[in-house]
Amino acid sequence: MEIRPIFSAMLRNKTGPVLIAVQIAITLAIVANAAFIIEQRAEKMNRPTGMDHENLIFARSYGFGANHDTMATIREDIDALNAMPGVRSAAYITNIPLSGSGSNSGFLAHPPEGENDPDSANANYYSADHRLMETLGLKLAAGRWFNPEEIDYNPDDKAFGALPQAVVVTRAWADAAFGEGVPVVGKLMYDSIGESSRIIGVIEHMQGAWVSWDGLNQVIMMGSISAAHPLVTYAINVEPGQKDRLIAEIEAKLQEINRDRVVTEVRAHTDYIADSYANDSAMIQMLTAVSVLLVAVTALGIVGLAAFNVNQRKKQIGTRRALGARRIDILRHFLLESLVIAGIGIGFGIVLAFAMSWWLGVQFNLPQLDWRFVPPVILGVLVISQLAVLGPARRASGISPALATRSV
Amino acid sequence: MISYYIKLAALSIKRNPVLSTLMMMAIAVGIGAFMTMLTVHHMMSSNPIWWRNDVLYNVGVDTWNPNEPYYEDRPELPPEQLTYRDAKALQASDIPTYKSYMFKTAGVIQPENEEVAPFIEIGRMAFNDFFAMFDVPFQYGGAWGDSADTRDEFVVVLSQETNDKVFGGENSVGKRITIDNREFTVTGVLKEWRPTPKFYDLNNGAFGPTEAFYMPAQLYETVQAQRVGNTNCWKPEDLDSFEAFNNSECTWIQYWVQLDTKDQRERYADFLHAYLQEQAQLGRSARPDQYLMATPEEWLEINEVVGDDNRVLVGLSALFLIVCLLNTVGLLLAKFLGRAGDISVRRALGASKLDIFRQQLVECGFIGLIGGVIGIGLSGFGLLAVKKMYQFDGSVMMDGEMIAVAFLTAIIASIAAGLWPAWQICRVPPAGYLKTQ
Amino acid sequence: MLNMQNISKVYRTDLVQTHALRDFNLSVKEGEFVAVTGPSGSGKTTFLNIAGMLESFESGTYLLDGEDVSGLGDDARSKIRNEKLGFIFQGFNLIPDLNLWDNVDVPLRYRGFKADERARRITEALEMVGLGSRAKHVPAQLSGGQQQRVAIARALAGSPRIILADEPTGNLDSLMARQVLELLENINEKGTTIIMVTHDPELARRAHRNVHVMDGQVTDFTEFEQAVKSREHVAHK
Repeated sequence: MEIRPIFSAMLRNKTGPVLIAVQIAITLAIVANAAFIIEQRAEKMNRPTGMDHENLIFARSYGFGANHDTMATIREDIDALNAMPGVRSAAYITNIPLSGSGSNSGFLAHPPEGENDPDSANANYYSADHRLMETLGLKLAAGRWFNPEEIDYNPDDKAFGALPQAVVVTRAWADAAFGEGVPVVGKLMYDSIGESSRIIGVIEHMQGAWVSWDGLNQVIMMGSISAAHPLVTYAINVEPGQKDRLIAEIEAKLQEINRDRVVTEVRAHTDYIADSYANDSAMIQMLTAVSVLLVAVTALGIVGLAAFNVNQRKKQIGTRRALGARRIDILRHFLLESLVIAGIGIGFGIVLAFAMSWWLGVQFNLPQLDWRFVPPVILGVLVISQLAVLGPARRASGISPALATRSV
Repeated sequence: MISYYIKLAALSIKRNPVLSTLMMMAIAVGIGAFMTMLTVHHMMSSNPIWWRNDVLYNVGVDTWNPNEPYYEDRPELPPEQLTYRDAKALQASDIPTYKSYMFKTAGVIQPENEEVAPFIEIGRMAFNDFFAMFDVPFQYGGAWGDSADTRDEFVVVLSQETNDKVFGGENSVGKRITIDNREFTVTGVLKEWRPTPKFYDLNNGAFGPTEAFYMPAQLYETVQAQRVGNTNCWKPEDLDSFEAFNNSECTWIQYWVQLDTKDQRERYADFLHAYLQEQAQLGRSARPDQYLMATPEEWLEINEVVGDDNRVLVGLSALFLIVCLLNTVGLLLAKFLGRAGDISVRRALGASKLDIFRQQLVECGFIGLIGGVIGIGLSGFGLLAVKKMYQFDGSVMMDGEMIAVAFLTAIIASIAAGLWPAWQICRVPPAGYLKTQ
Repeated sequence: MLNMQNISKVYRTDLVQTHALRDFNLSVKEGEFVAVTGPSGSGKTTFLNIAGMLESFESGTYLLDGEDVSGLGDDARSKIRNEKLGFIFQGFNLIPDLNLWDNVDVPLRYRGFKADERARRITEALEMVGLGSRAKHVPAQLSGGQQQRVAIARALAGSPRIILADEPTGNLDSLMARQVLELLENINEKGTTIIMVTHDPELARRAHRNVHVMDGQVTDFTEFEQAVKSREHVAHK
């Protein structure tokens, strides 16, 4: 159709179209980059945990009474929790996975050589009882979980427990320490001062303490219960839909069993996970908000400019109509004009998007924009720019040809 | 004349309510988003003890792993915390005006009132210099005496919240409180004190709450207090007992000093250097040149308290504001050109170009001001959302400075947006639009 | 009062040059009522725009009130328009969102008068055109004739030396046109010089003097004795 006159009209009245094109360019660049960052964060948040986190509750007990017996309390509490209706399984663990707090140390496939053996592979380690696999919902890739008699009891007032007789490790840690795919069940593993422990099982996959740590999947479960610290933690797997009710009941129940302690932080596992990803989900929400507002503001700008143009050109449009232009021709004229402006904006926008991504990479070490994020955003911008101009364009097409003969 | 222009601006806004509302909303949304991000940034990057910035120093000494630096990307820095041995050794220096090692502990508070259930709280162990050094405000009483820093005395300072909870907010100085089964005497109650960021201990979240109670660090070994902060160890060594841990190379203690004079600072630097040299000679892993004396501001910078995410968001929201302004430029242009006839008449009646220019700018400023006010309202909502999203402790609000910045940004931005349209319109020839109407 | 000598004005576009005025000469004495007539495109509006300092010109000299205003800048021209000239347009050109009071106020504001001085002048001017009671109305509430009277009040309020009127009755029916013309004659009698562009010979005849413009030049000077007579006739009625 008549592209040339559209261009020449734009050249005569540059400011408006230029403003819109610049807005479209910036919008495209920001939305493409935001979408890319959002996608990455969402991917991070949606990694499989390896646990039945939807149905897990954690509770903690901090003993303080002069006669407080931590070991006895653990036994009593776990028995009581397992007897509660709605509870499928309750177990002992030292810390809450994915909560942002935990212990981490290097372990080896062979006795350490020197102070800092480079073969050492880091792992989040947790003490666990014989029920923990069932409670967390872990899946074994090889070997087996602890028998009750394999759990070491560590009643002393020790700061850090020594290695127990048996451990279960994740496949990720086994790969890092022993090599990709090497069978490890039955082998010994060592800590940095040369103590050893037998690996009796391999967990298919499980996440540890810190969501932004690159060793997140490297976890070691130690078959031991320690009374070294007055703060103990219980993992509780409950029937679906019972979480809210049980959180309150568990707190009351534990308090009732033993008053020489404080029951604290009885919370759903999903709450801990949400806290750990708070920054990521905040980033997602804010980028989404900025993107949506940006698109809305740009769309309003397009509507505004188109409405203004229609007003300014009423007489011209009337004249065209008088000279035989059909309604559809007028409509098409405005849609095409918007398309041309959007096209120019998109052209600059693509360059700007990659420039912005490059700058974010240099400045903040973010990965480079994946080009596949650009076409959908371009399509979106095109559709929105056409929709935005539709209203004013329809109004223009409704202008009477009689307007040509009247002075406005 | 300015009042005349303001009157004209109000009339003009009334005449084009839709266009004017769009412009105000564009500015408001832009300002709202930008100020939300900027306020968060401002809060994250603020120095909560700025008035003492030139005398307070965080102290670090590098007795970390000889084979690899603590920070891979910044090998010149010592670890952010000290070992217990180093902390005790540094505390022996009499160069600083004030000095204190400090760390987090936990304890169960058992109120005498049976109706209040025992509750677990995070506390802090430190020397009484802690309160003087950081200008910690007291509601009742004060810090414990110097003697409690050298001899075991079971004394405690409570936060306002703890005092409210246990003593119903009354003056509890001299009263007894049971913590982890031991009786302590209250020497002071703080006023609300919430340095943001929590500069003196950035572990476990730079925006977390301050502690519920404070005890002399002197009591640490006597009561075998819990350590609840971050602990980092590098050396394969026996950590199985309380004593073994205390003698280990694990770092877990924060250290702050006040050095008032240049002389003190120089002497203290020499002292740290000499200490590390001596430790190296004793066979410990120690890097004599790697000690740190960082002002609070430097300390916050080193610990990267302002996240990259926040910087990205400030940048993006600034771009968003620019888009909103470009939008406003377009709308203003449309509005002004629609008024070319009136402007011609004014010009014919003797208004100079400057008169017209000013009139338009006042209108832009007016729109900017209203947009700014709405924008500040919007950023209030934005900040509420941010507080929820980030789980900040304490309030996230715009302070006077931020509100001033918001207004200034709104007005400058809208005047900047108005410059080009105003310039276009004041160039309308006076005879141009008079003939037909 | 007004003296133009050899004024030339050319309009240029990319393709065409149009000589709107060529060696235009005209002199108007103080207190005169001059009608400028001519066909469409003859240059009479250009003449009025130049006389009113709305447009600049290429060559020639223009003395206004004894002062050479040929080379003045935009600000100085604005000041002269404001202080010495009053305009009346065919389309009235009132500002639609201002009420009558504020419309008359416009030139006085730019003049920098104090509030009480402005109030006095506005009241006086509106009284003079018989609209003193409707100061709070907006133009859209008035008839065309009333609007033109407001425009005259606005032109008068600053006590100009010359009033320039461009087809002041062009958009009015005959009754209203007569009222407006009478008003202009009254003003003229009080000593204000009036230059009126019109293509209506009927109207032109009532001026003291009639200047005919053709192709950008003054072609004809005629003193219309009759005009004076007919005006007396109207006055006696």
